[in-house]
Amino acid sequence: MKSFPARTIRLVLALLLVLGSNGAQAEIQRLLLVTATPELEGLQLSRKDISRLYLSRPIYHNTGMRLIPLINLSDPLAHEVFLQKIMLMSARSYDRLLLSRVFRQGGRRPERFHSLLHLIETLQRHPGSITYMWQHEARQYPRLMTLMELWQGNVR
Amino acid sequence: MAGLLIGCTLILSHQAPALTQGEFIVFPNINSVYRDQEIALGAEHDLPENRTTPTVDFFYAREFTRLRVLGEFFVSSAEDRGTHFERLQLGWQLRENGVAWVGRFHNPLGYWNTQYHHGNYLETSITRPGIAAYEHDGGVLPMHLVGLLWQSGLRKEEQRYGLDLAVGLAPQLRGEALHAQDLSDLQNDHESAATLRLSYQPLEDGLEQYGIFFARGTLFSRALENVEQTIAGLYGNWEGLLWQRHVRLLGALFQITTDPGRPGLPGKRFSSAYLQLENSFADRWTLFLRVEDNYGDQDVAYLDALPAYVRARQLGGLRFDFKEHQALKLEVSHARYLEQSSDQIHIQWSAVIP
Repeated sequence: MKSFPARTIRLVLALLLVLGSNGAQAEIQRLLLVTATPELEGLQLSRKDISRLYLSRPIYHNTGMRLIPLINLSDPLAHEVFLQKIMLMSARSYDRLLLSRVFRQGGRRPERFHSLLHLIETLQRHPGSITYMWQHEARQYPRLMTLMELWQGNVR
Repeated sequence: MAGLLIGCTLILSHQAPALTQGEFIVFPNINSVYRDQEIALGAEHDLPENRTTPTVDFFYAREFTRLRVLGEFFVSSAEDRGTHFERLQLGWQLRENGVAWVGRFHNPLGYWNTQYHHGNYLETSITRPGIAAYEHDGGVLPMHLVGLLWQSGLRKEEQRYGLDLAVGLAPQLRGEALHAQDLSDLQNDHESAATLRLSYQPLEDGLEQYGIFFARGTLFSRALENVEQTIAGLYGNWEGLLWQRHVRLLGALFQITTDPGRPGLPGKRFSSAYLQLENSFADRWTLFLRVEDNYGDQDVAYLDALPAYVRARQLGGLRFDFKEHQALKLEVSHARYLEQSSDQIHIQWSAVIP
């Protein structure tokens, strides 16, 4: 059997890569607010509510359960989109504002997670905890529930 | 001493990541000051030509449903700045925006005192305005009270109207400095004081804030046979883009009436103001300038009894933020005291862990 010349194979591979990257560029990413707490199903939060929650202000579900915000740093892009679209501030401003607020009035800063697995475990272990992540990540964990879509767009 | 303090900081701050209820924050600093000459301000406040002082501020806060605990312990190698409980408060969250506190707290007297205090990293500059100086550092106002504090706010759409009301034991004038009530060494000779502050924030969680305040109290003093003090003032903190630059402007105006009980010393009124301009650029750099001055401060017996009070100052400085939570600051200033004046250079490293 006559084999394809190496040059042809490289050309086809390069074409596939280009097509693949073009496809990825057109892909819409969705950032979701998720929880593993069944009681929170149907919870409605405004952008302002989420912003207040992530600035350590107490927000309660109507069952009396206090919401626990968790910061997802496993994907820097997801965190950046969350800060820009929901908190409406840069990472440095957010850190300073949060620190200043806790220093003045007590409370605690939201826990930060660099590991997605650790974050998922914490969501499942602590009732009332919520976080944000990309839709394609959330789909991998059937016990997670989507509370709302925070943002959608092309991030590449 | 410096090594020990920093060592303690690093050990205590290295906690395993876990979803806990408490918040433990450490604010380490190393402050160096260089003056053109040694300044003798009185028996208690000689300012050396140069001095390097490491300090660590330990902060802890925890919530138990509606109960809140907040503690701040300040450790310094400088004898005149002392190691003490800076704050120790027990609070009860009565409603979403209302907390009643009991304990030792920062008096809500203007903006600077509650916004920064010992968390030097949070403060753009190294020094505080003279009128907002700590009691043991030449301050002339009650920066700490021991008693009750009510903090509440009213949200209206994006805006917030805040109310702070404090009632408690005021500092006493002893020697040539004010001394706030020390929780580890309780003294009986403290009179009472009260402060009311009303604030307005156009955006609830924004940095822009404006407010007015009023305070009245008695400072125990054997030499002056107690001092009746009345304080009224206003403040503002604005941030935004000005000529396409990120600019911050904060300032305050105080009017203070002091009336010593000792016969022959009349009550006097003086004013104090400061204005600080900041310009952040290239993400990590901040340039700052501040002017502060007093008006009508001549022949005020109360001020004459506090020789370390900075009556006027002009300063310029630069702050560089690096790593995640560290800052290096340089500040060049000219400060005027009761009779002397001094050119000074301050250098500070500050951080927040974690």
